[in-house]
Amino acid sequence: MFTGGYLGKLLRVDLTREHHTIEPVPEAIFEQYLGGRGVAAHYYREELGPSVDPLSPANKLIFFTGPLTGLSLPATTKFQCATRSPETGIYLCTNSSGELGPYLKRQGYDGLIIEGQAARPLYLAITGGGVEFRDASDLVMLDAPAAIEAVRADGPGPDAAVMAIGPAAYNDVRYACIMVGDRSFGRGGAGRVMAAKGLKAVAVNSRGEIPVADRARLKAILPVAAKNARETKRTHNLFGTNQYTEIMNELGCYSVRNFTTGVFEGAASLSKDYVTRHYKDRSAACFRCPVGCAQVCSVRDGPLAGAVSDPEYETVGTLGGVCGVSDFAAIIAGNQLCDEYGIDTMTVGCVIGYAMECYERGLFTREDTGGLELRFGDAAVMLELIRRIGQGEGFGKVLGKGFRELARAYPATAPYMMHVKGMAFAAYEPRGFYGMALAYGTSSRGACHNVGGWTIRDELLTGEYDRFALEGKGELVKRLQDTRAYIDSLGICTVVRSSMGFTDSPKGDVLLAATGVDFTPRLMTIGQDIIDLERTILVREGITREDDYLPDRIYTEPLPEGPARGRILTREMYDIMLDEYYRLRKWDRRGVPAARTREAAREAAG
Amino acid sequence: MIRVEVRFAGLPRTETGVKAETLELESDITLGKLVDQLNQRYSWEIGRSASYFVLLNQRGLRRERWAHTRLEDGDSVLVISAIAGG
Repeated sequence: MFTGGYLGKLLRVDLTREHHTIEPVPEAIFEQYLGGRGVAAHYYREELGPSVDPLSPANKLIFFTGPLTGLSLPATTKFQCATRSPETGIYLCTNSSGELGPYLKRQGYDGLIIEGQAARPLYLAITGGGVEFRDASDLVMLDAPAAIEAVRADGPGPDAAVMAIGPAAYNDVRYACIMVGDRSFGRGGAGRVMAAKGLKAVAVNSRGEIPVADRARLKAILPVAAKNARETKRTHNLFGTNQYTEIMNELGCYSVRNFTTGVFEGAASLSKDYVTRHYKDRSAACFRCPVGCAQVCSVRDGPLAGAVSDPEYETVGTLGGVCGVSDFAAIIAGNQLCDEYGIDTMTVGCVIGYAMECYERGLFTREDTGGLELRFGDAAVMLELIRRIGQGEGFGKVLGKGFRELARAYPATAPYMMHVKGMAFAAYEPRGFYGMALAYGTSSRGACHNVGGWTIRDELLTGEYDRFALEGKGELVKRLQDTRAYIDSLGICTVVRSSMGFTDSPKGDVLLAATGVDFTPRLMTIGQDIIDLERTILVREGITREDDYLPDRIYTEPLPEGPARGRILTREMYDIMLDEYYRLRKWDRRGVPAARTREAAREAAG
Repeated sequence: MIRVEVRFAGLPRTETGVKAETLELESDITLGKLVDQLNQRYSWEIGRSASYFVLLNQRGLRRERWAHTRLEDGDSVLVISAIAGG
């Protein structure tokens, strides 16, 4: 029995009836799936059938915290959302930092399920006084940061945690995100789902304490874990994740000009040292994080002076590398625009890079683009396209639909869409790291470097793997995915996880101190069960082995230059890794888990 | 004598202020000996701490093999700081 970490309750909000209920969450669900991503996926499977339209009232936003969310430990900031994605049309798991998850727990809830569709624009205020459905008519077209400030000023208090959507979500951008303060549920379009529900924002204020099984033990763990995190992640504080830009470019596997090459001649002006010298103001940290990996940057002069944002590696790699843009001032401005409109920076960068390549190939004309000439490297065009996408204007409205819809509207351009299952690539060239190719292919939500398993470190630094070889990559990707799945279910940030013993060989007594139950020896098994659960959902939604492949460019075009010159990953080579991966997961050759086969048989039997 | 290119990325590039340099080395030098030289020159602890790593011709090599891996003329060694999390 749990004596801390969990509250045992979820808040269910019906927007249609402007009504809420409080429901118990059975302990058995936490025992099986831990929390966060795992428990959100469980409710998704139970409550969302395979035919639910992502933009219909039947879709749900299922938010869950983990047992460590909000506790006095390093970076206990994470909470998860599961929903049907309007970008990919399938299951989506997405996570965010910020204070809202911790505050939700302080209000007494492990999870929040939002369903139905409001008859009028609303925002939710979750306070000690209950749940209020407040009118948001005046807030709808405010940008996300302005909406967050307006909601704070309107009701639940200046210290409330607020998540809100920006104009992009209302302008049918299928990869619109939910901004949580200055963090976000970035990928997959959860913001577009929120707009379809007529919900502009959710505000939660902080009250009460989260129960802990052994508070004295947790208090003793904190300083050790914080010191460990600070020391091992010193470069994250100094440079953030953008420290990887020059490393990936050195290795010839940076994301360049829509993945046509792995070496970017403009990388020097995106590099950490250049950025620190010319743009960095300070490092910043999320809730209870001793590391502080966000790099707040500003443009001090020139036409973009005054722009402020904190671009991470992925944003630099997509708005920069993928679009061929080497002007870091434009990346700061582009990131800020995305935060204001509420757009996923990674997807928008990949979509613009695709449009640039198609234009250069003559597949789009000025007539299509509303007069814009799209060329790789044109920072002004990159910024203008973000604006048009956010506003839902002209060609921007077309690009806002995402790759799945674009492939239907412009089938001749489909070969230049770098995505898996409708979700755009992250900023790593998969021909430079074969493990990343498998990670993109088998991730539960499409081409994702996190959910898919970030293989770069293992393929590069351990000496255990050759990054251009197939051997062992199925095992590696499975192990990293299982690890990530349990981390995503704990409620902590992956950057600090090893400081508390949460690796692929979990150890330590953090969970025992927090919950009173020692999950630790079972964590990798729980991670594996979560991946099986997600695959069961995906298969139910029509995903097959064919959906686990990458775009043909990866299989047919060798990298043209740099250290990875001539590297290619043929479909036959990829099949070897995919078969190993399926075999280790005990899925059949079609990628179907046994649990789904049994479930399908029951459905067929009626 | 052999010529080996040593490249720096991540924190090692920040600390050295150098992107790459070509070293003339004894023809029987191993990767382990080169790492010792770099450690001495820059006060690093490559191989003794998990902060910095070396790649030989773009590939990682288990530490226990460094002492037995003889460098060849034209080899490229990349020194990078640890990476973790995407």
